[in-house]
Amino acid sequence: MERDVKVRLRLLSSLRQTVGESELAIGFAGGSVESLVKEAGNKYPKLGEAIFAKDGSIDYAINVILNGRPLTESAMKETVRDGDEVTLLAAAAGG
Amino acid sequence: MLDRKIGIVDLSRNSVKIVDMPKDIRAKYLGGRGINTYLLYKLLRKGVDPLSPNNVLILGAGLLTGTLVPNSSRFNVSTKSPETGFLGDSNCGGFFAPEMRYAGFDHIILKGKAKKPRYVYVEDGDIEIRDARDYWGMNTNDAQVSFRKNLGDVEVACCGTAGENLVRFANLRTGVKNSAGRCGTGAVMGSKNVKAVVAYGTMGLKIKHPQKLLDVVKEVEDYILGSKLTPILGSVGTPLLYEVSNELGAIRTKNSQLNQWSDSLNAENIEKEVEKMIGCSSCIVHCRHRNKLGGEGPEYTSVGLLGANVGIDDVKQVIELQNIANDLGLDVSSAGTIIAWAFELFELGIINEKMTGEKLEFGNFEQARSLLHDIAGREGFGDILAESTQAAKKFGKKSEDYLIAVKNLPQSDPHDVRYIKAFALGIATASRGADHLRSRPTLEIFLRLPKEVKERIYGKGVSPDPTSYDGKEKTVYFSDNIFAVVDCLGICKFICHGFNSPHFLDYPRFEALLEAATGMKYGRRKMEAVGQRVVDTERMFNIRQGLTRKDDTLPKRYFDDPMPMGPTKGHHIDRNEFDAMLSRYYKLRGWDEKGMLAPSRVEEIKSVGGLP
Repeated sequence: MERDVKVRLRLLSSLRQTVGESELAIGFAGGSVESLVKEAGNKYPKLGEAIFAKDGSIDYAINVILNGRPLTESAMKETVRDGDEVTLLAAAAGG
Repeated sequence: MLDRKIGIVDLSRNSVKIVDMPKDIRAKYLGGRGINTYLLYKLLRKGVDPLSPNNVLILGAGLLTGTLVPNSSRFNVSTKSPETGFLGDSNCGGFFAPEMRYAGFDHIILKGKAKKPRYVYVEDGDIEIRDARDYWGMNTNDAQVSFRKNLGDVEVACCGTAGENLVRFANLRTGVKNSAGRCGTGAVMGSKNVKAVVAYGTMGLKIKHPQKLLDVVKEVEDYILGSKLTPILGSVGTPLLYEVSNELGAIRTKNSQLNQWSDSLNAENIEKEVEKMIGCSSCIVHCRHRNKLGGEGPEYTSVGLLGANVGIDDVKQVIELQNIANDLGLDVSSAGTIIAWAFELFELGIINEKMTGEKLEFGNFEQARSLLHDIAGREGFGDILAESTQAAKKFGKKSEDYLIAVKNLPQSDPHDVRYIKAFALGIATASRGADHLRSRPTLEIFLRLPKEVKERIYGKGVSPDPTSYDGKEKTVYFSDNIFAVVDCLGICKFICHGFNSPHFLDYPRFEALLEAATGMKYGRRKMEAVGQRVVDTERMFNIRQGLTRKDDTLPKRYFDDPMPMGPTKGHHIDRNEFDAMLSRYYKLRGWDEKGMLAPSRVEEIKSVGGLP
């Protein structure tokens, strides 16, 4: 399968520190934001460790921003297009 | 039972009374914030001047504070706030509260006013009022070092020069950074001519079921340490939140004129200035930084409010500002908000050099540093800023349109709440004013949390969309109650369900810890009822001091000015939607449309008995 959808995947905050990279260029066969993020997690084990829940799903603590637009869980089914920018950051709180 | 005594220190009469904890109060409020609130309601009449001898200052340890329970270091300091005129209550960690319990006391009430500077010394069941002339005029670090030099291995909760000078957002400090930061607790201590409460104790706490507690504690520790979030908080601390809010476009910047700021304040840059991570008593998370500039922190709050909000983007400068504020005994949240407010008012021409003595400008580090000192010393323009939100009386009515405060309390959370509607309701209804530690339903920032998960936590009808108003009253209601419970137990909110994670400690684990430590059996409903009772009692206190529905609101800017930048661009709070959400929240609490409690509920709470 051709990897003709090129996506810029930005990693922020603790994810950037965990993976050691602030940005990954992902070649992707196409599909949803969810499938892109899962593929990235499988390709980069440190990222996968940080973003996958025990059941293999993407942990709810991982916020996903598509082209500057924060996504709810239902929006994770949206299709990724060539040139898109996807940002991942772990939500957390405190005082 | 873990019962300790209540110490009542009458500074006007130079006398001390020590009484047992009435069982009914303990059963209904557990400890810490709950019992403090009850005592405050019973002791203070309507209209008491917060800086007069008629006000009281209550230090109260949580029921599990000082035990092996993870993160059980906490105590509350409660009073009528000189900053707001309403409930003043602040929760604090460190090592002081366990020591106060080992010295024999759960709650210490300071009333009246000493003729000359004094400190209160507590040791193994006794309380003495002592001469503090050698400590008066010191800031919080020097004062604590001096007390330790003179008295040995004591723990100290003290005010700095800001408290002595009655700055309305002066705090109480223990250790290098831990603060009962909010609502001007330090000013009340200063108004009583008291420098500190100093504790030393050797009295162990008697645990009801020691082996059972060890077993429950082990299970809880494994559970917390097994979370992905724990090592992150333990290595980076709360500054990691800056980037989360900033990327979203929700970091308060330049008095909320903007909502995004520089990446230079990201946690990885702060880490370069960190010497090591440390913790409070019994902490297993270790979220505090010892910084290389001679202090502790910064927390997310300092990064946001002494950084982005005043237009500073240099990490070292932000750390220096917060180290200075901490040493002077100033609340960083109020300081950063009030200074930024003044900067914008100057830009707008609402105040001018005749009042300020100089041109004010965002991003001017030297100026911000000088202002902190001037506020603490009540010098020049700092004397006006020391009045906190009450400076509006000097600045004029128009200035209130730019004030980021609720119930006269400057907002503590660096997060701009115009995007996440539940956060907005949280700061609007929080009993002490604009604050995130009373009821912020943090899980709303987990933007992908599905409807079924939210409904399982908060109840039916809660929208998964953080920008929706639907059902959000339930998220605040849940958070209000559980945060009140955790404050009564003396456990840090960092490991409390719903504050940092949907997987941290919920009611069942609190119940297990409470039963093992004390033998008190509380099911989910009974424990949640404690939280409800605390919130209702705080409401009764506030209503007595004049609070009405119109006080449960938001800064004008949050309604009228859409967020200008980033992913959150265009979001604001709709007045009608907010009003409807507020009514639903009242209904959930059992309050009427005006936000008043039912007469039967008032009588029920008044009937809690036993105060000597």
